Amino acid sequence: MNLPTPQPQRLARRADLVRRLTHLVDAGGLIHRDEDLVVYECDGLSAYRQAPLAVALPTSAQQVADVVCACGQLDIPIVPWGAGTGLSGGALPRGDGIVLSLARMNRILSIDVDDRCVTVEPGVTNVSVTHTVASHGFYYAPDPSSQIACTIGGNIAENSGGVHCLKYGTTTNNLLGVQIVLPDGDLVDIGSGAMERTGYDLLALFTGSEGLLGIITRATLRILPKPESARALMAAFDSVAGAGAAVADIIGAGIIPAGMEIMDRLSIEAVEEFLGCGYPVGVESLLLVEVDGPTAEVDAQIAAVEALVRAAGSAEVRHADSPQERQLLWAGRKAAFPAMGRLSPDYYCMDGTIPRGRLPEVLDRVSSLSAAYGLRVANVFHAGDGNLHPLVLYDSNVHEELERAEELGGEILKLCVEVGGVLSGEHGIGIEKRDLMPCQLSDDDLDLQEELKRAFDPGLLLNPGKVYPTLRTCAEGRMHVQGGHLPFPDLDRF
Amino acid sequence: MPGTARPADTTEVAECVRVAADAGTSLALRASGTKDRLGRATSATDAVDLSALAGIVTYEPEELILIARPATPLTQVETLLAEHGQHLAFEPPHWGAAATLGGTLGVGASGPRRFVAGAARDFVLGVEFIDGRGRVIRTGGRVVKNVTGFDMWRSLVGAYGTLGIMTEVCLKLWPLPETQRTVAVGGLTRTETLARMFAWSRRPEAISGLSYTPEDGTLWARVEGSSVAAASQAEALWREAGAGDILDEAASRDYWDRLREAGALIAAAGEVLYRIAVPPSRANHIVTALEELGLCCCALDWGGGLLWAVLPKNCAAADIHAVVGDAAGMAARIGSGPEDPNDDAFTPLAEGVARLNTTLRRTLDPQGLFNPGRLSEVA
Repeated sequence: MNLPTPQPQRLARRADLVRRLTHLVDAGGLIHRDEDLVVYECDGLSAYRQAPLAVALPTSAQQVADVVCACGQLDIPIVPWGAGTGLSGGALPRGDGIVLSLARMNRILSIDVDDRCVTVEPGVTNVSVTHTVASHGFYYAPDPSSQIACTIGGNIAENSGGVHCLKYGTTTNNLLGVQIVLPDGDLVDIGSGAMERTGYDLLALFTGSEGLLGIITRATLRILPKPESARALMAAFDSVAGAGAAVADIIGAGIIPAGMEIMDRLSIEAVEEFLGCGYPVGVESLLLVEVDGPTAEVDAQIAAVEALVRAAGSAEVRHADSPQERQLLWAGRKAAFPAMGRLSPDYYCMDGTIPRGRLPEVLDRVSSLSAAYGLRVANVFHAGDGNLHPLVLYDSNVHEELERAEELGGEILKLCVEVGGVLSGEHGIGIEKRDLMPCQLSDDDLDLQEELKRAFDPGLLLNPGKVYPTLRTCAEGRMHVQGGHLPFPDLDRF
Repeated sequence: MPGTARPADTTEVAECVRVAADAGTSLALRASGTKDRLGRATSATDAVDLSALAGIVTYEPEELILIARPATPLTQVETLLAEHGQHLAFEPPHWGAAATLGGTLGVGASGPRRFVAGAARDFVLGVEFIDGRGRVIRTGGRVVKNVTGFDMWRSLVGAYGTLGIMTEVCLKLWPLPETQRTVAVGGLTRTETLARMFAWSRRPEAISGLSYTPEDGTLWARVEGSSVAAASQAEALWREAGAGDILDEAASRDYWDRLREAGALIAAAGEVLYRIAVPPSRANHIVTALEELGLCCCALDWGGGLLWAVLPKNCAAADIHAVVGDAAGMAARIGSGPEDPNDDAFTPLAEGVARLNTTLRRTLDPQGLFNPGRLSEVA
């Protein structure tokens, strides 16, 4: 992957840019010394690094608009930035652009319990939304595992998910309104506390648009009453296919679990060694299922789930009924990524989504690919919503192992598309999967998407170079990803 | 209509669009016509009858997905799903026996369960459509989690056919709850009802319907689930209310079906029906303001988030839109029939939002071929 070559005429305007932006933000709200910019040179896809010309940290929507206008006048690209936890390089800076960080816009603006919504600034972290409304008996459903750090603005940009997406949806299903600064500096409010809007569903268009269409400066989020009860169980299987069949049986029985996850042998062993959370070792796969809702319903459903997993061949079933037991059960799953550090110096996380029923076949083929490439692949899988996270283990110090990991990753994503799935479930395309887009989208599809981008951002100054490929053949789609180390190794990841 | 094309498949739809684009004509999108009273009348020169694009392409119960062509009758879909213990959880209103899937999604029609289950757009996973240049576009997919490019599949829902012609849609399905009960508490004022709705919508019971009918001052609360759970939850609500009745499954279904179709609120001669979405906390304020405009009656749904309001025909639509718009809501005037152009169907958009709407429309349909005027005045 080649990063865009910085345009010399833009670099030449740096002093002018800094002078102008300094006046538009609060004191200390513009970072421009080279040694201070290092912090912002990459997001969670740390293999790619490039320091921006400057970082602006506005504290109001008006300041965001002023910065956007100034950059428009100087023809300077803008990369919006939440917490920088994204895994697809969506927030990777450009050498000839600025980073616009929303970190200082982190206030909860209002809690409207009667309207079942909360309005926040974009720099508020995901988990703090739930913390804010918990005393009212509510919570915010999307829960990406980086939720202690990732921001609502970033969640909207990537349409973030988590483990509860099948039942409760992703960000787009839990968003009622946004305020957006458009590329021309205009401030527009879309949506409100009402559940329907006149005109087109612009909220859908902006959610998951990876910072290409506008900059979110405020969001109104739907909150849900906390379920009366939640219970979980863990079932061990002697094959991944067995766990996959149990998933189909559970859904076939009309049960929609709040969370449903599968881990393979390599993941289980890594996690158990890392955390010691009580997972059985020596089994081929684990199915974790959590149901929530009214107590009578939950009790009936967990009993039904247990009967189904046993009928599907699970030899060992353990229950987690208390909040503490459930937390421990999920802690292992959420620690799957950091735990991989025990097994391998580097790993590379994929994010394809597949139809649930194709899981056994896909994992078989991933296993064959793994053998063919001579690289281990650990699998964790959001079984409820079909989101697959194969982790390719490699050592960047071994000659050409990185290149093999890259090729293997690309083959796995193409396989996801081939069986009716998509390249990215929740991490976004960013730069990481940009050149694989032609594997999923036709030329006409891509043309229309780029026409939309140009219509909303004629100057192509908002996060340019992301999502849409410059080369239009699938064969060109090679991913040059280096080093699997995440910049925040202590953060849980999905 | 001077010319009505009847394409048989996706390729022929694309051809119709290219022909219209070359000829400078425009197309009214037609199937069974059950949604004609919603939205403005179109000024299209010609029509495209999509009735032949019907049928279920794929139904995979265990994947919770169904792929169908747009003119597939809604009842056909619902009957098939019910046979497999599944349903469309957004509980779409039909507004006519011949309602199709395409029309339902075109107007973004969601029913009483919307306030907890999500809207029509939340159940669309992918769409194949023809854009204004006659290209076959596939957007989205058949999986719940998908961040691969701009989300156009949801943007098409509720667009009244003005962004493209859907030729295939993939829907997310949901298990059909085993049974339902409804607690009906009569003799309440609107203010009392809203207070109770707010209190109940915080409760952990699986309340999937929360409505109010003004003629008898009745609050209706539906719980769904297994027979054991539904009965015990209904009793808990009934005990808390300290009055009222518990409707059995059949009576409960009957009530919500009628409310979904707004059957109790068909406007009489000299009256007009409005469907108004509001932040629930503003419902009382808006209804009071509408009363000053001569409101005849108003039912509440979505826990106070939706008003079905009947107003005198001589009451200016602009006044109603102003009241609703000022309170962060949106009103849709239901036309009274083929002679009613329904020019003021929708609460006007704020300037910035209107501009974004125009940008989106001009990108997907540069010549304004599809249903011109249906959603907003032709510029």
